[in-house]
Amino acid sequence: MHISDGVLPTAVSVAAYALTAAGIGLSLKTIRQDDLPKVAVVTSSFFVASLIHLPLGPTSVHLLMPGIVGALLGPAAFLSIGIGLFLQSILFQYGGLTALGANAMMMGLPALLCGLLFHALRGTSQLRCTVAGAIAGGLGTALAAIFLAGLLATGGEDFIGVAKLALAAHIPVILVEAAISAFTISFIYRVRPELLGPRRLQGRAGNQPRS
Amino acid sequence: MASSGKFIGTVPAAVLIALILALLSSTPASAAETAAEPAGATGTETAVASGPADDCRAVLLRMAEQDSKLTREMQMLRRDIAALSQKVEEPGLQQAIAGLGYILGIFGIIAFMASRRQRRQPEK
Repeated sequence: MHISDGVLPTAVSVAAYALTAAGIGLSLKTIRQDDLPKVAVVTSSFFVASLIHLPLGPTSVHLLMPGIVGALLGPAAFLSIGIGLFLQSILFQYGGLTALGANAMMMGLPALLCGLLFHALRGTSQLRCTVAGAIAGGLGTALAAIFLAGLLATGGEDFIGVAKLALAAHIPVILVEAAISAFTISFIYRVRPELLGPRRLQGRAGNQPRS
Repeated sequence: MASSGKFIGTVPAAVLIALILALLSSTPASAAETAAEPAGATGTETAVASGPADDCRAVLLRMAEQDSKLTREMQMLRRDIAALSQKVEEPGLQQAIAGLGYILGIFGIIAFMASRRQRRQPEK
């Protein structure tokens, strides 16, 4: 699910770039130094996940993972997705450089929303955390499909038609990502619960340099 | 040095031999052409006499056959080329590892800058 070069009107591409830049700025502002390795690892997974193709009839779709990136990184997801998509467009020829802003927005906003949703739902038990992870993981891809339809609608496409098509094509991806997110998040919950999300409640104390 | 000297010596000899061969072969060939021309002319005359329409039709049929065969082969080739180009464009392990390297590098730079900023702050 990538928008190619030259599909969107110039104004929309520029606006999407501006929004992505703002999102990355927000990421850089809120990111904490201790979290950098985590962000790097999640970015790497996001970057490589697009190589995992699921066969779907004559074509295939690949994993997108905006939901789990948002759930794990919170506001830093924009930075992660921006870097990941930039490298994908350079190395894998996915999308294109002029559409990079739109693509990053298409993945970044669902990631942010899923991150917020995950933290609202997660509670304290492992079961709730797992379910919240599954919902966030599946919803991320669904929202990305809807954003794709919205962006393409600015280029003159039929919004409902594209949205239906993109959602239908990504049903297997949504299911697989929900499963992967549930598994990953329950595993992290068991092994290192402090890795789950930005520690907003205790974060300010941890933000001071320990001297 | 010895080999290059030998090479320079052999080149004119080879050229000479080629020239001689060309001279020798050109005369009989032209003779054969002149001899063949009248023979070919008589051949077409006899073909015309036997039935021009049938012959033309046969030739046309064969040409159409060859044309369709070639078209089919061209299509197959085109399909092969398309499949190959798709395969070439597909990202592989190398690109994936390169990307991972870039990501680690970028976050290394961010961490480096953050650590420098943090180190400077207490001094101020």
